[in-house]
Formats: sequence, structure tokens, C-alpha cells
Amino acid sequence: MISANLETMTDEELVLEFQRGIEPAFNRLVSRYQEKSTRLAFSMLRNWETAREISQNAFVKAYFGLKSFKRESKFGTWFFRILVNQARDEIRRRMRSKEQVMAEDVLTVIPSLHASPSQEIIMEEERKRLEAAVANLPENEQKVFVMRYFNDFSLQEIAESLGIALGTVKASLFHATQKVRKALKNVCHPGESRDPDRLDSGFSAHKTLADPSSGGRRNDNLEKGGV
Amino acid sequence: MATIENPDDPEMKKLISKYKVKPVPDSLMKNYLSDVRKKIEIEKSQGQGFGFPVWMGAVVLMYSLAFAFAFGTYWVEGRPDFSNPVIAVPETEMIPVPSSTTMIKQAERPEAVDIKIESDAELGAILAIFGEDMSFLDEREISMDVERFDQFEIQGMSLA
Repeated sequence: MISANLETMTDEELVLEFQRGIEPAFNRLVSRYQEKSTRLAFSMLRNWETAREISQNAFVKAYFGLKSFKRESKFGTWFFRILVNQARDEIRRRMRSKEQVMAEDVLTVIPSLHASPSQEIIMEEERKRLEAAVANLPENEQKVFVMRYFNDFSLQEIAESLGIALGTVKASLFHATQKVRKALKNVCHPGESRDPDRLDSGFSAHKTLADPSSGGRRNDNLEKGGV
Repeated sequence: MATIENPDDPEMKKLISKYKVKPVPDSLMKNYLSDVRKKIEIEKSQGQGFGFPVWMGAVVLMYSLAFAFAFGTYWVEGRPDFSNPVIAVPETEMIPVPSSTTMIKQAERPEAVDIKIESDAELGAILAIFGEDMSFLDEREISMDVERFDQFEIQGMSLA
């Protein structure tokens, strides 16, 4: 009966139940957030096993902290703040110990029935460049970029989860985006426009692929080994 | 065009919308909850579950022991006597602090005192105190400045 009720409860209600001593309420919160938290941790740590470990540790911390949680913020943002801190500690630990971890690809191409094999190759190259550009961002900007574009957090959610001002989030995201654009632009092909307002070759390729009126000229260039 | 105030870049969004973060492998989600519960139990057994970290308990225990020791000492030995501020200083090392009266007396005293050394023993004692630089005492009849004369008093000797 209780478990049936727990299914329909909001996060805030579950937190309240847990604080009243109903342990299954915490299990429900874990089930609700386990996938999202593992994915967020993965997009920061780029390793599935570590991401699972870190997200579980975040739940353990949340378990002990939840009893004194004052419900001044949403459970989600409070929990993601713990998670991001755990991930940050892990990244710093790796840097200190100079531990080498097999970095896995974070993004995957959404399969399309209309994409030709050459288009798929272009998208794959573009994806690699994008991931490399994001990986080279400073830690704070990377966190904001990853949370916004890879995990669909709102700016407010990012601010609350990272415990920083909304203005700082906006500035970090702006600078991160500029840097990613610049990094992608540096892989421009010979003869291409270097107009700073134009996006990089990856963006251009995407635009051309999406626009049949371009006549496929851009595709031809890319297939000749430009990318 | 994105700005700092509105940093969402539509073209970046468009580019990234072609991709998605890899879905979490199913194998990774197996036993997820039970593993979390196991970790919680381990943490509880290590003291986290008491509501405060173990190190805090150690500090409280240390202070309790210190208090118990102090109380035990009081119980056995009684209250220490703080009425006499001079404690355990050997008498020979006690140096009287000149009071204002003494200072006046000293000011009234002559700058030098004539001393006549009566015996070899007295000379030996003086040399033992002042060392070799007191070779002038060989004359047995000297004029000594008051400061030096006072040091004899400090040492419990009287040459006057």
C-alpha cells in the first residue's frame, strides 16, 4: 500500500516521508534519479564504471544528509550539487595521482534513416571534434556546458546545482560556447571563409547537409578529405 | 547571436541536437539500488549513522578524559594552594625585587664601600663569586662599588 503511494509521490513528499522514518521513500528517490545521475556523472567523468561509483556515493551522502535537509531547495538540485561535488573531487583525485582512465565517448549520433554513409562519417568526425573541444574547456565552464547542452538542465537548475550565481552560469556558458565554436572553427578547410561570425566547418557541414539547395558542393569538399 | 545575458546559442543547440549523451547501459543499472543500500549499511557500521562524524566523537572523548583526570587529581590531592605565587623556586635563586623604599635607601647610600678582607677564606669566597677579574682583591683593602657589594648580600655574605 505504501509502495503504491510512493510511486505517485513528488520528490518533496518522498523526502518528507523519509524524514518521518519511511526508508522505502529513499529507495524510490534512488530509482527516480539513478539513471539521470549516472548519465550526468558520465558526461563529466567519461567513464561508465566511475560514473556509477560516483553517483552511488552521492546517494549515500544524500541518505545521511537528507535527515537534516531543510527542503529550502528542490531535492533534485540539492542532490545534483552533491553529485557534481563528488565528480569534481574524483577529477581532482585523478589529476593528483595522475591516474590514466580510459576516456569513453560521451555523445552518440542519433541514427537517421535519411543519412548517407558519407554524411554519417562527417557527423562522426564532427562529434569527435566537438567532444575534444568540450574536454579542453576549463573545469567550471565544462561543467556548465555539459549540464546545459548534454543534459538539458535549465540555467537556474545549473546555478542551484553548482551553488553559483545565475549570472556566473550565464557568463561561463557564453565563454564556453565561444571557445567550442572557436575550436571547431580552427579545423576550417582550405578556401573556406574565415568570417568569425560564420560557424566552424562542423556547423557549416551540418547546415549544408540540412539544406538541399546547396547542391551538395560542401559534401563533395568534405569527401575529398577535408575533415 | 548569443550574448552573456542570453548565452544559449541556437546554432550550438542545433549542432548538439544531432547527438545525445550515450544511454546508460542496462548492465550498469542492475543491482544499482541494492549496491547503494549496501554502501549505506557499511557507512552506518563505520559510525556515519550516529549523526556526527567519528572524529567528532574522538574529540569529545579526549576532552572528557582530560576533565576526568583534572577532577580525579582534585579529588585525591585537594584544591591546589594558589595563595602563594612563589612556588618551587629554590631559596638561593630568589632575587628580591627592590621596592621603592629600597631604591631610596640605595640612592642615599654612598657610591662605594670600603671593605677590608680579614681572611683568606673571605678572599676565596669573593673570588669564587666574582672570578679571576677580582684579582685586585689581593690588596685586601679595597673600595668596592655598591652594586657589587649588594651582590654579596644576595649571596648571603656580609663583608661590612
